[in-house]
This record gives sequence, C-alpha cells and structure tokens, in this order.
Amino acid sequence: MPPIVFSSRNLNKTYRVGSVNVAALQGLDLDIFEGEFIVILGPSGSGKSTLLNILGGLDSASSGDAAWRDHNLVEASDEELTRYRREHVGFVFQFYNLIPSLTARENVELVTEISEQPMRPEDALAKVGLSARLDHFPSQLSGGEQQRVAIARAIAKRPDVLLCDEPTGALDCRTGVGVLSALDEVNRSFGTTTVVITHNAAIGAMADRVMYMADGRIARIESHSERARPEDIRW
Amino acid sequence: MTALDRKLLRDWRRLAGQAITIALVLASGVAVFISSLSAYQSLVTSQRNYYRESRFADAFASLKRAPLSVAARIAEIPGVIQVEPRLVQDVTIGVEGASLPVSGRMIALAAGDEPQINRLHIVSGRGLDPAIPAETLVTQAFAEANRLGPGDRVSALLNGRRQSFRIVGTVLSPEYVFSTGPGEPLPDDKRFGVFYVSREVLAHAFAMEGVFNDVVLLVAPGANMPAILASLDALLDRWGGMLAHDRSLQLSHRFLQDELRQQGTMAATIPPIFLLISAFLLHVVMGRLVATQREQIAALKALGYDHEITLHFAKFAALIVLPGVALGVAAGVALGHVMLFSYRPFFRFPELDYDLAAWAPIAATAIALFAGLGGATGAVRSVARLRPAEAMRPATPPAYTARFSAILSQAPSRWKIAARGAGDHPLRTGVTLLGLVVAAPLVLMGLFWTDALDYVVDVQFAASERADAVVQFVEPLPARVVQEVRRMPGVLLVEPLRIAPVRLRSGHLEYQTSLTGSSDRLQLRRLLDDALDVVVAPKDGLLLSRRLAERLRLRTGDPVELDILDGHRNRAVVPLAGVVNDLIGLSAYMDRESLNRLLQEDQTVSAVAVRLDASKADAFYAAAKQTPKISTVSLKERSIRNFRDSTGAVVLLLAGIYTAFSITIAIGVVYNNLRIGFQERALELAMLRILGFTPYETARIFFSEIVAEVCLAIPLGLVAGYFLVRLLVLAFQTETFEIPAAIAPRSYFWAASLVAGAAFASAAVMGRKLWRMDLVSVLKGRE
Repeated sequence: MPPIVFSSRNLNKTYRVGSVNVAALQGLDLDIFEGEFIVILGPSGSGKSTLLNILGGLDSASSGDAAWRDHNLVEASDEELTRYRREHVGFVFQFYNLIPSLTARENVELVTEISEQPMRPEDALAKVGLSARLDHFPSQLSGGEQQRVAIARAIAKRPDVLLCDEPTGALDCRTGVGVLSALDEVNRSFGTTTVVITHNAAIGAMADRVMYMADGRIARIESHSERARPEDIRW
Repeated sequence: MTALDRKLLRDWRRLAGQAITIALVLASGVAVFISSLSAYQSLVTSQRNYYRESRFADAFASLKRAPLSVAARIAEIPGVIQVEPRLVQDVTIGVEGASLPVSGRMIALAAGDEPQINRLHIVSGRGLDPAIPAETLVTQAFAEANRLGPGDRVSALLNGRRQSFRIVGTVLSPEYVFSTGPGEPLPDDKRFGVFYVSREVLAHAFAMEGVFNDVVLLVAPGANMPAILASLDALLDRWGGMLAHDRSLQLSHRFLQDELRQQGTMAATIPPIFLLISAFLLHVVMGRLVATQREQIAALKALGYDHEITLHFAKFAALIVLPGVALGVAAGVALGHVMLFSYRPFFRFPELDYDLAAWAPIAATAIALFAGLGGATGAVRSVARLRPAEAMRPATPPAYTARFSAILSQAPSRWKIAARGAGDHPLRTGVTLLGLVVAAPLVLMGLFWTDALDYVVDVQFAASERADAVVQFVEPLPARVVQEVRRMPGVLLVEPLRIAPVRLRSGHLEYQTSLTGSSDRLQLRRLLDDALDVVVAPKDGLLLSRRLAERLRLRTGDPVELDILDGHRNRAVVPLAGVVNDLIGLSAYMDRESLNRLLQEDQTVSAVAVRLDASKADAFYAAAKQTPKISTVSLKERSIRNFRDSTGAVVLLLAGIYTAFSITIAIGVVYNNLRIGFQERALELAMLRILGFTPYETARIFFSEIVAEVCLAIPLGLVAGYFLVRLLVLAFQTETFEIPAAIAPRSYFWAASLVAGAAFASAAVMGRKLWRMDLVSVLKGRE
C-alpha cells in the first residue's frame, strides 16, 4: 500500500453569499494515496471545485482537517500556501490560462524559473507531444494544444500532485483524448498523484479510483483494478 | 425599475471608485473651462459697460498750447461729437513718508466744471468744489498703494513752486484703469498717480489761462477715424501737436487690451486642452469598462436584447458623465466668481459683473457626453457584432508575434511579458502611453509661467537694462548735466541717454514709440539679440524690437520713415539695421550721435542711466526729489516688482489654478490608465499567483510593463510639453510684452516627478489589490 499524501477529516467549507450561508463541503473525509490517478465526478454545486481549490492551496477550509503529507492546509498562512503551490502543486484548468504574450516554451519557463529542480521546458513539452510547437504563441495553438502546454507547464516543476479542473471541458472528444493521454503518461512515468474533477463520467474509466460527490460529501467511491487507456474513452 | 436598470445601479456601485475618479477628472476639465471663460467674459463685459457709462474718449491728442478757440474748430471736424480741451501736466509729487520719488499727472478741464468725457467714478469722498482751489481728487490705485484717502494731504512741485493739496475724494477713470508713468513700461501705482485739480490752480501755475494742452474727443459710431486723426494732426500742427491717436495707442487701454487678450488667450487655449484631455480619458475608460463586460453583453444578446444593450451602456456612461459635468459647471461658476474677485486689484472698473455665456456649459456638456457615450457605445458595438455564442466563449488569446524573441531570449520572463505586451498591442499600449504622456504637458503648462516670468526678469532687467535707476529730465539738457547726476549721492556710474518720441512709418503701417540714442560704450543699457549677444546700434541705421519690426512688416535693410516728435520735428528715412530681443515694450534705437544730428542738437541728454551704491539709495532718492530738472526716476527694483505684481500676478493667478487642476487631471489620468490595465490583466495575474508566484514576484511582472511605460511616457511627455508650451506662447505675444517659451529644468523635474509619483501611488493601490487578490473568485469570474 503506497503512503497517503492527502487526507481530510470532517472538512467543512461555508461560503457566505449575501445573507445566506452556502455549505460547499459538509464533513468531508478523504484519503488519497501517492501516485494515484483519481477522477472526482459530480453535478454542479456538489463541491468538486471547492475541494480541488482547498487541496491546491487556493482556498482554505472553514473547519476540519486537511493535510498534504505534513503540511496543514487549513491553518496555513498565505505565504505558506504560496510556497506549497510553488513547490508541490501543478494546476490544469478548463480554459488553459496561458500567458498570451509568452510562447509555449516560455510559458513553461515561467514556472521553471521559480522551481528548485525543474525539467527542461523542452522535455516537459515533449512529454505532452508538443516538441514541434515550442515557439508558438497561445493564439497560434489549438485548444487541445494550449491545454497540453498548460499540462507541460504544470508538470515542469516536477510537482507531487497534479490538480485538473475540467481539463477537457472546452475540448471536443478527439482533442480531449489527446489531453487525457498526456495526463495518463505523466502519471504513469513520473508517478505524479493526479486528481481530475469533471462532469464527464466517461473519464472515470481511466482512474484508479472514481469518487462521486453530492451535497459537499463523497457519496461513493469506485475502485478500478484495471485502468482504461485514454484512447479507448469516447464521449 | 427594469432589471437592466437595477444592473446599471449595481454596476455603478461596484465601479464607484473608478466612476468617481473619472467624474472628478471630467469635472476638473469642465471647471477650468467654465471658470476661465466666464472670468474672461466678465472682464470684457465689465470693460464694455464701464467705457460706455463713463463715456471713454475715442481720440486723444496732446500739444504744447493752443487757445480755446482751437477746440471749437476741432468740434467742427466731421464725425466728432464732443470735444473736451484740458490742461495736463506731469509733476513731482510729495507724499509724506515716501522715500521713493513719486510722480503725478495733474489734469484740469480747460473749460467747464465736470468732465463729460472720461467721467470719473467717485469711490470715496466727494467731487471737487470749484470754489476751493487747493483740493484734489486722486486715482484710487495710487491712494491705496500710498495709504491715502480723503482728508490726507499731498504736495506737488508746480513749475518750481511747491503747493499743498487736500485730497477730497478717490476716483476711477476709464483713461487710467492702468496708470503708467512717463517712460515706464508698466504701471506702478505707488510711484505714479493721476490728480484732478481745479483749472485755476494749474492754469495759474503754468501760465495757461485761456489755453489747453491736451484734448479728448468722442466721435460718432462708424466715423472715419483715420480721417479725423489726420484733420486733428493738421489742425494742431502749428500748436505743437504731438500725437493724435485713437484708443489703440492710449496707454491704459492698450495695457488693458493686452491683459484681456492674455486672459482671453489663456481661456481659449489651456482650458479646452484640459476639457479635451479629460474627454479623451473618459472615452478610453468607458470603452475599456464596457469591454470588461463582454460576457454579459453576449448573454443579454442571447436573451434577445438588442438596442436596449447600447442604451443600457449609454445610461451607464451618462451616470458617470452627467454628475461630472454638473459638478464641473457648479465648481466652474464658483471658481469663476473667485477668479473675478481676485482680479479686482488689477482691473480697476467700478463694477466687475459676473457673466457666463450660455454656450460654454452647453459646449462642455456636449463634448463630455459625446466623448463618454462615444467610448461606451463604440465598445458595445464591437462586442455586439459577435454572435452571442462566440462572445460568451472566452476571447481567443490575443495574438502575439516573436519579433522581440532574439533580443529577449536571455531575458527573464517578466521582461518578455512586458515587451511583448507593449509591442504587440500597440493600441492598448498606445492608449495607456498617451494617457501617461498627456499628464506631463498639462503640468508643464501650469508651471512654466513662473519660469517665463523669471526669464523675462533675467533678460530684461539683468542682462539688458542694467541700470539701477534712470533719471529723466523735464526737457533735454546739455551734456554737462551728466556730471551733475554723477555727483549725486550714491551714484557709481552714469551713462547719458537721449530719448525722443518718434513715429515710425513703413508703407501704410505706423507706430509711435520712443527712439533711444544708444552707444557701443554703454554698459547700463545694452541691446541684445535673440542669442542674448550684445548688438550695437550702427551709425547709419535703426534697430527695432523684433515684435515692432514684425508689426511694421520690416526686414533688415528696409527703409523706415522717422517723424521725430520733439525738437525741430525733423523727418528722415533710415534703413532697418537689425532687430533687438526686447521682451517688454516696443522700442526703436539708433546711435546717439546720429540721433543728436537728426535732432539738430549738440549732445543733448534727456535721461541718465545710473548705477547706485545700494546703501546710499535713499540719499539718492532724496536728492532726486529736490532737483526740479528731474521729472521722473525709474528704478529697476520697482520695475521688476511692478512687472511681477501686474502682469506677473494675473498670469500666475491663472497659472496656479491651472497647475492645481493639471495635477488633479494628471493623477486621474495616470491612475485610471494603470487601473484599467490591471483590470484587463487580472486573470493573467491571478494565474501567476496560482502557479506559485509570490505577490512580490507577480507584482514585479505586472509592474515591469508599467515601469517601462512610465519611463517611456515621461520623456515623451516632457518633449510634448516643450512643444505645447512653444505653441502656447505664440498665442500669448502682446504688444506690452512677450512670454518666452523658457521652461526651467526644475519644472521638467516637477512634471516628471508628479507623473512618476502618480504612477507610484497608483501602483501602490494596485499592489495592495494584488496582495489581497481572491484567486478563487477571479477563476470563478472566468469559468
């Protein structure tokens, strides 16, 4: 059994919207093991993004415990969260969020410049199959390519965990599969713990475990002994 | 209230900070526009009313002496409505406690009791009682400057006899709105006053019973003025007629016109620039604000809204523009009143009535609305052109090119982001740069006036007119008088001057001024060219002030006709030998010996330039006051102070107001430009924070571009300011003096510092936002 990297107990997150309190997470318990590929599925408002934001150090919980290894994520200061993101976390978002004025290579360099032992940007881009597009600007890349640059940017610092928020949400199936292959490849070859949140149930097939969220809790967990190959996934 | 209107109010509240700063910038632009225009308009109206009510003369002439019967013949000249012959004498005045020599002009009617032309307005006390000879009325400005009032006494040296007068009233005269003493370029209320006395006193003292030596006329509207003046000259020629002229050569009127023209030019040039710059800012900011609502516009379109969207954003613009304009108009009217009130000591009219032309606020509102609505609707249209589905997707990443890649390959990412951000978005960068660039000229435009006035003082009073005092004689005297002046206490150096009144003619153009006989040996009165090198008057040619040569359309070598209005009243034609860089006044110069020859005189002197031992100046003044031959003593120190107090003070008053507003606008422009830049890049910045960049590192990336823009904008702004000021001064040349486009290094420094300071303060505000950025909500806003 690999060690636990993430664990949360009785995790609560309440937003105050106007005069109403919205409970996004309600007593959530969770363990994630090193090197796992996890897909979190659930309808809108189920708390997926909130969970991901807390795991990634973008947001803090209202109460309960959440830790990455020995880093307490609930009580951490802004500076500690920034250092945590910088040293351990790679993010991939639905809308890529590349810096438009930097080329693919430079977008990756942006991260390697502030990392301890980064990959060469060219290697990170090769990993996602973009060796031929190093000097292209985001506006010259397709959506799938932009998302792969975002993945290269996320992995170039050799993160311990890769957090992906609807990484194929803006892509068609064929392009989306290319992006999933890149994530799968990174997870297998580097052993990077990967968490993908999505509405797309089909993606669950490639995960070690699929967690179904509802009403701010994990309603059900499904384990796969065999992970599907991304190329075999269709939606 | 419709849902859209509720959105409108909430959007306004959300953007209140920016909406208010934009409204304030706009209000500043409008306020300067309204106040300057209305203050100027009020002065013009007050002048017109005063001239009409006081029956200000249309034509003026002075002469040696003529019997009163000549006045009746003047009245017969076609077009002349009314004639008033007078006795006018320049005298030395004794004011108790005054250490400086004081001169005065005594005026009495040669016939009748009350002036019907140039009527006096009594400010305090009462009019003259014809039965009491030793009474006088004195101009209000002189009375104030010397702290005199009804009941006080002054003495006057009348033809060598000292006589005492009791002041019974202080008055204003349209003829002496500005009172300039003989031989002085500028008014000096402390040292020159006008005294109205009874005919008996003046006629008796100067043996002028039954004669007059000065005449003023009213002419019919539309009368042929040149013909009247020609007839007047012909009629008075045998009576020693000096100069028949219309209002344009009347000293007070000319000075007043110059001051008004300067006010008018200031009102017509600088405030519109302010208004246009704030309108430009409004246009840009509205466009950018609307553009940030791209998704909302698309959503509204998808819901079936169409022209309502444009109307919605037009309302949004109006919500910012209209309060700004209303505030601007209100502040402008209030400030206009304040300005007019501050003019009171300078413009001595009985009434200064506030007058605001209706078109000014209408024009300001129209320009502001046009700019604001234009910016808003332009942005709405560009979004509305997209299909809703397309507009709702996040915008495609803006395109960039690799043009800087070679240079930047080794540079840190933040410089790449900055360089490409600027280079590949010429419009966005251009707009921001322009916003930053316009700030510096605004500030320079306010600051440079002080520099210009300092420059005038330096050139005119330190390099050119180097005498501490100029002693003028009642009439030209033999050269030995120079040695008498040399022996007066405190005198270190003397130089003789011969100054004669002269009329210059070139074709149909003519100008009356003084002709100064100069010499290459002179140290105290040097003539300078544009490069400030000394020019020497040649033996056989004339030098003119550059603006005078331009006025007469003369070039070097052109012949100039001279009518000497003194001595034998000789005429001559002399070539123009060159021009002189006189900043104050329009004068003519020639070699002193040549002038003496022209005058058929043997080395006579009409004035002496003097260098004084400052510690003995009082003894010198006292001696000068006791010397009957001396008519006036002009003192450099006083001239400088007068210059600063008159023209200088009025100009600096306006300049101060402009500087205050320019600083407000500059800060507003810089802040809003950088603020919008921040808004447009918020997501990019949030992304950097998510990637693990610390707030400090993120700030370095964002501010690199700002630093580069500010570093580029400041020098560009200073250069733009330099040219703007040069352009401005062209409009500001008046006959009395010229404002040089001299900007001191310290003004450049202040303008640059202000822009940099505003940028720094704005950056600090944004830095705080950057530190407190809520990463999750930025991401949510996007996704």
